[in-house]
Amino acid sequence: MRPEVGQYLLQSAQKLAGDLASNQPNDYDAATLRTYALLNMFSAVDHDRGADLRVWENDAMRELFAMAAQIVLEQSLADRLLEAGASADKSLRISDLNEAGDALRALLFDLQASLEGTDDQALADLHRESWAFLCEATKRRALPLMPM
Amino acid sequence: MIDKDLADKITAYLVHCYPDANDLSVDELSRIHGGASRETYALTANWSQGGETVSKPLIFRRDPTTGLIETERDVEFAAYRAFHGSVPVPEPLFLETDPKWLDRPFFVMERILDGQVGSPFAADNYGDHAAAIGESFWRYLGDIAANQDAVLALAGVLPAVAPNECWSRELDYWENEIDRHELEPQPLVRAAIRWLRANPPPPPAQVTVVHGDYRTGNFLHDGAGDILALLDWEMVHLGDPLEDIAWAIDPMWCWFNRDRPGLMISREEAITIWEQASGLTVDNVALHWWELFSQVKGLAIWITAGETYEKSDNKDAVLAFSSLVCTDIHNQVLAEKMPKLLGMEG
Repeated sequence: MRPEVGQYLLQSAQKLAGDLASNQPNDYDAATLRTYALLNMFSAVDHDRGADLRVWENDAMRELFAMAAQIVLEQSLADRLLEAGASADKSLRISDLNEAGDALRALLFDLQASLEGTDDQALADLHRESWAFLCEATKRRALPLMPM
Repeated sequence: MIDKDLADKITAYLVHCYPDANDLSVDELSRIHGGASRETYALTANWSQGGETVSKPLIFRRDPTTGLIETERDVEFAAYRAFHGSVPVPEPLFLETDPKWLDRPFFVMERILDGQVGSPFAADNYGDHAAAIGESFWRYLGDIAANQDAVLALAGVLPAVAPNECWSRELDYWENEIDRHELEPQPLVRAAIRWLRANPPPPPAQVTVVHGDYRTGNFLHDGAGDILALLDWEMVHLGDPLEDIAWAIDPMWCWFNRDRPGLMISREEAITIWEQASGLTVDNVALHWWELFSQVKGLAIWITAGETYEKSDNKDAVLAFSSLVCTDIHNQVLAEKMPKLLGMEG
């Protein structure tokens, strides 16, 4: 699709925050347009990196779960981990990746809750791995914020 | 643009409130950003009375159809009333619950003229006046914590809480908000909640009025070092005064300059001033608990904002911004903190 989506989202952000906001008769409407300008800018970022980021996250969680399934003691959780670890994304559409990611994150939540306070070294290492993933995912998702 | 219908309705209401006013008119009516939990309108009412011309700048705070947080306008109004005269707040004037006037309940208060609002997302708000504003900001928060008369005055509208239940009541409330409004699983905030429950803080020495949203962006200053008004009391409640300190020093409100909470003065200076004004001592273990709680509370608010934007008719851009940007910031804070709290670093 040309021009690139990001390009005209940024262009529209510029227009919203510039001329259009300046010409509003009141501060409320001007502030609303400036806020939408920022949202457009973040949308441009997500348009470019969104699929890559979500595929990385989903794959990383599956890898973690496949490993966890071999270590976790509780059988029902281990079964769910095994199944999730072997799953795949339905497509590269953002909505499909989100749906799969939500299911995987819900399982990550259950896994971490089960690992907290463990004395077992292998489980403690797994807990550490799960947090390493979560921290890296948060870092990758961070928006390019600038002072306003 | 504000429709004429709203201006006419406000005029009719003010005529009702000021029966001795002649030729009352409403000018300069405009919507302003005053928190996404209520619609806020600024205006000036003009009338003549006893041969004198009266000009009164006013704020109308109307309940939304849906908002960022669900709050009671009578509680906020009562808080303004309880603190008016002791710390700088606008004078509360009328509380109206009858929907016949403006379709939804609202209250009216004095409008503070020529006030400036700082942005949490700036690198600097207050320039050379940061120290003076910071001194006032923290002293007023200490004054709020010290004001036991206000606790009594608000006892009729705010539920009582025992010192050892302050933390659990707040955590229960905000966790429930996340349960109700979560659009996607949130492992970071859930882990923080588990940690908070497993490591409760010591109780406060005394239960105080907690503003609930005391921070940069929620007060007006004059641009010359003085705070004119402390605003947005919609989340006021009784509780542990450290909750307000923790919220005010949260990284959200100084993201681009984290050494100066609220973009004012250092954390150490802030706590010293607060302790002097309140006569209370900050327990650092408890404060660290409340700081993590602040991230949970913030995320509950931003999660609710996102759900409101997606699922209701309220498409206020602030809701989308809060959901996107504020969630991102608080998740980054939790990603920094949680591995340390869980003993995974070092």
